[in-house]
Amino acid sequence: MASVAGVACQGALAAGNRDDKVQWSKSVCRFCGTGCGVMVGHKGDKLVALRGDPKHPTTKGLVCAKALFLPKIVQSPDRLRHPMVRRNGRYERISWDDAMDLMADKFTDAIKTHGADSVAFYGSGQAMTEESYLANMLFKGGIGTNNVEGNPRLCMASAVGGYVSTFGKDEPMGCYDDIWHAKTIFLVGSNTAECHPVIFDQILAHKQKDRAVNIIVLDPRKSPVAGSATVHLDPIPGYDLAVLHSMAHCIIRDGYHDTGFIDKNVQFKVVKDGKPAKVGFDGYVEFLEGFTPERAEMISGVPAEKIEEAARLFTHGPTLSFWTMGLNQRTRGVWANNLMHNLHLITGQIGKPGASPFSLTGQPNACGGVRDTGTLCHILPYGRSVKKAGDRKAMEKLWGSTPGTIPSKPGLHTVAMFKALGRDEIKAMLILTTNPGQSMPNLHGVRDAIGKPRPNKPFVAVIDAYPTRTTEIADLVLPAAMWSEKAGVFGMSERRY
Amino acid sequence: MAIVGAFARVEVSGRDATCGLLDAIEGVSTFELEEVEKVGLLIEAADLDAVHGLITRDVRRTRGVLGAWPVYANTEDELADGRANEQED
Repeated sequence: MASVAGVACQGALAAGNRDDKVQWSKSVCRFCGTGCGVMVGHKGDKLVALRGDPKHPTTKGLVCAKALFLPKIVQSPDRLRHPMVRRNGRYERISWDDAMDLMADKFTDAIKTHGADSVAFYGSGQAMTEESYLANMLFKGGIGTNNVEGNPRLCMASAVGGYVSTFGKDEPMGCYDDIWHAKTIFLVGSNTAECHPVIFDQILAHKQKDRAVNIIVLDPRKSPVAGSATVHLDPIPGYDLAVLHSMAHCIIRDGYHDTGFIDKNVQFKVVKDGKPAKVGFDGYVEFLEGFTPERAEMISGVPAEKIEEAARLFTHGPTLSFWTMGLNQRTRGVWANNLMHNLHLITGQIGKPGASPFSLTGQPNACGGVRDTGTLCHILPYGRSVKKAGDRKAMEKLWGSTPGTIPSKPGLHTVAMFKALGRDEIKAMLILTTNPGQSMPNLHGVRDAIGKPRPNKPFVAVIDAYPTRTTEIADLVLPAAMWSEKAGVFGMSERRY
Repeated sequence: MAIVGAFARVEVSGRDATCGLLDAIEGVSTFELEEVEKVGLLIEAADLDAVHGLITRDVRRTRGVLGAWPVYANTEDELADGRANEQED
């Protein structure tokens, strides 16, 4: 791969001869969860060139078309440059000192008058890990509220719920290197070719080198990924759970499940009266009797023979599954994640090279920045929980907080938080590098909550690099430094920092 | 003007025909790489948007191309033309 990057660079250099006096600095792309290594070319303080980092251990010099725009997004004339406050429906430029004083006064007044839970923080998988960690520490360990959320609630929360409910801990256990060891790769709800292109190239390269590799695609759309599929399952949108159950049915019916692994490592539970209850393997088999391929075809529209083929190929391991928002961003998303884990657990396709259920992250720092730092309403850094006294005590000690500062009850999750903002129960909110004024469901209510003038309207401050549909209705707008302008880390899908 | 170095991953069978199709795209030049599954590309266009369009539409949809990935981009000329460099102080 280094040779590709080198030769391509030489070609471009020969054509343009522009790289005299360009200095190169190491960085990572800030666009998606793949986490490609890049080298940024700059002359003085101007970014002028970009290339893949051939020394990056996993992406080895590859980038995708998105990365072309990295220098441009930093140097656009549209950037926010000065703090602005909204007065009488108009935005006026103010000094940094005045902006910080205003924000501090508003938050302090809210906390003193209405308590710690009257303030909230809404962060982002775009922020640096250090930024999310600092906000989490301030709000939970300093102010004493768990009203701390982030936009991964809208994308990765299903994956978080799936991993925690299945394995007891968040975060996938695979890595990109598993691609090269897999015999079957299962892509579910993932247009990897266009959303994680560098990962898709590794899949293609592996398949080109080993023709025996199979690619199963489960996606209602015929995306560019489907063109490379050994079998493409295209269910009616929302009916893929039946397909996944049916694959499990076929695997067990045909005796391809791993009895030894199941006996040693797997428990089977159902929810009865709101609580998990053990049913055993036999109970699971009985449940799956309702998901024959023929019935799954009636439910999902996927032909029974394709489901059978996909199930058969899945057992030709090691099997690596990748999925992303097609599985996560929907109701029943946690269940869909559980069903992916089920397939790996009943076949023992887990915890060995090439075998893993691997949820791909969309944002560059949802894993490292929000999940690992615990910047959600119910968790604390690195897998700890606000509900556990020992975890709260450990973080209070680490943060130098007064014992008892971190509440034991989870705060408001994202949707509830913006509803509380709309009812004026949240008095002050800080939004960091995300755009709920465009991206939240039931948007009109959220926009009214953030920006509609009214008596006792909550104070909303937004930190961002560009004008957005959120900055246009905020009370205070603070310009953010961007990728390449500040130091920090991203933690990408395979949790490489 | 923007110059980008990239490569296309291609079906090995029919590689020569694919290279011919790629060379026929205005702004795209091909060159040999060590691996037969890849074709080196030099892409020159008016600006990054045009390069992006060439890669994601024209190159990627060429018969025999499985995908296209940039490895190098120089945008100094594009940024120097004033369109992207005016900043209010």
